[in-house]
Amino acid sequence: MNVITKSLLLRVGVTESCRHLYNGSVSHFHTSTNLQGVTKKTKALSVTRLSPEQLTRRKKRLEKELKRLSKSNMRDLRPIEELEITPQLRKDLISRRRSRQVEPISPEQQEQQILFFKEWTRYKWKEVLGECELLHRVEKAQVFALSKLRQESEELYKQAVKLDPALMNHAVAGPLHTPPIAGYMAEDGKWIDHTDYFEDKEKYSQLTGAIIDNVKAKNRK
Amino acid sequence: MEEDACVFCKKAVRSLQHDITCDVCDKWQHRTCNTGFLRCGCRHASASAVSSNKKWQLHSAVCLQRYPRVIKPPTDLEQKYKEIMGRIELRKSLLSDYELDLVAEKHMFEKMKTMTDDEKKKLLAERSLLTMAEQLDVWTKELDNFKLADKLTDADKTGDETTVNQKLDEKLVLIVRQNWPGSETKCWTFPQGCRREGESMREAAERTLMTCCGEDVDAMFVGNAPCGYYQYQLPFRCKPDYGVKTFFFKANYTAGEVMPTDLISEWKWVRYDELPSYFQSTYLRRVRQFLIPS
Repeated sequence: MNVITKSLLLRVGVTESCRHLYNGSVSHFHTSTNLQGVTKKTKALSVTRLSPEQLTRRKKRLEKELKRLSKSNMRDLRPIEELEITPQLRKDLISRRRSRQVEPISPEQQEQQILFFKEWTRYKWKEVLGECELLHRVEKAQVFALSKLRQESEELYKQAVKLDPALMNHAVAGPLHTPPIAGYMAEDGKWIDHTDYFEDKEKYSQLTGAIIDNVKAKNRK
Repeated sequence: MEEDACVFCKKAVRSLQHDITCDVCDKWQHRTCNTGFLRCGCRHASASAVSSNKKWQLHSAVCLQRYPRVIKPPTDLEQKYKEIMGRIELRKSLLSDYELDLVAEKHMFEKMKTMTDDEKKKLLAERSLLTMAEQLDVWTKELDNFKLADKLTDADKTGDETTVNQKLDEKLVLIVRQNWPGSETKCWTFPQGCRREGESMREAAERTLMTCCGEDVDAMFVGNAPCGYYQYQLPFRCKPDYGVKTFFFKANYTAGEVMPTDLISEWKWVRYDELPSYFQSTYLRRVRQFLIPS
């Protein structure tokens, strides 16, 4: 009797102890993909689930942000001079005062243009390939020269491979349409300082005033 | 030369026999006397020993480049591209102030046809004295009166190739005929000079340029590294120097003229495609590897 009850108890114990842990079939078990230690993004709390306190807190936070953004120094951002359009030009664009009357291009002309651009890309591509080849050849020659120098002497090689700081500030002006005229003295032109100084208006208004006064005095002369 | 005795057979070691010497005790042994060295191995070892004994002079050569000062006229394709792009840009653009003034003037003259004399006078007084067409004439005259410099210099007309002020639309390079001591034949090369003790190769190149071409020439050396390499054997009378290893350095010409010095008898500024008529074939092959034509 004891033995039977013991075995029965054991069996019951196992099933009973398991029951509070899991109460379903084996197919319900699953493992996620290999996360590598990184967890999935947490779901955003939907508004309906928030308590009234949380809602008021959110509202306050948003209002604070709005107030901060609508402050005067945040709104009047510094204008970029290169992108500025004069008010007259802005009006002209709206009123179409400056719009050009152009005839539409015929389809044959358009076709010719497209064919020409294809020829142009072919020409430019050839040029680019030639340049790449050239650079490759030049680089190869330099690498060869450096290897020969290294064979000759390690010290000379190290000196050759050093960075030349004079090359950092090196600027080159390209070719022009005509050569410069020998002994030509260019005339000085008028210069009025139009730059806007936003940081310290009081400090620089004096400076600009002085320059304008100078120019006026010169003009009077 | 002292008579060395072979350690093994005690006989004299002669110069034409294959012998091996010990670096430590300086004693000699015939190759055939129990050394285990083969004939081919011995020959190879002796050849490499001879080559490492060769004395090479290290030279720096300067490839002084003068970049073009004036643009070349465009090719047919480029000209056509310019025209087409100009047309497209014109179509996409807005009217400028000048064009607006032209249009306004046209309207004004049309209006004036149907006006009284007094009203005409009043209108004309408001505007400037000249019409747009007259203004254009004034401006074109001003442009015509301004004289631009000639693209063809005096040197181009006379065919003088020693100055820098010639062929302004081409990339030129300096070549010289150097006076090497003891040699009568002179050939065209880049200015070349031997490296002195304590100099780097680039410093040698800078010094070479100054001594060969005078102190007036200003150049910007493009980096510390050489761009090319060329080696050649010296004639027998130049013993102990076996040959010369030349390292080429590129330099961009900035200002000054080449002055005659003792080291060079002639110099010329030539285009890259003219080099084959001046340089030797092997030298040209090496030099062409690092030259970038315009």
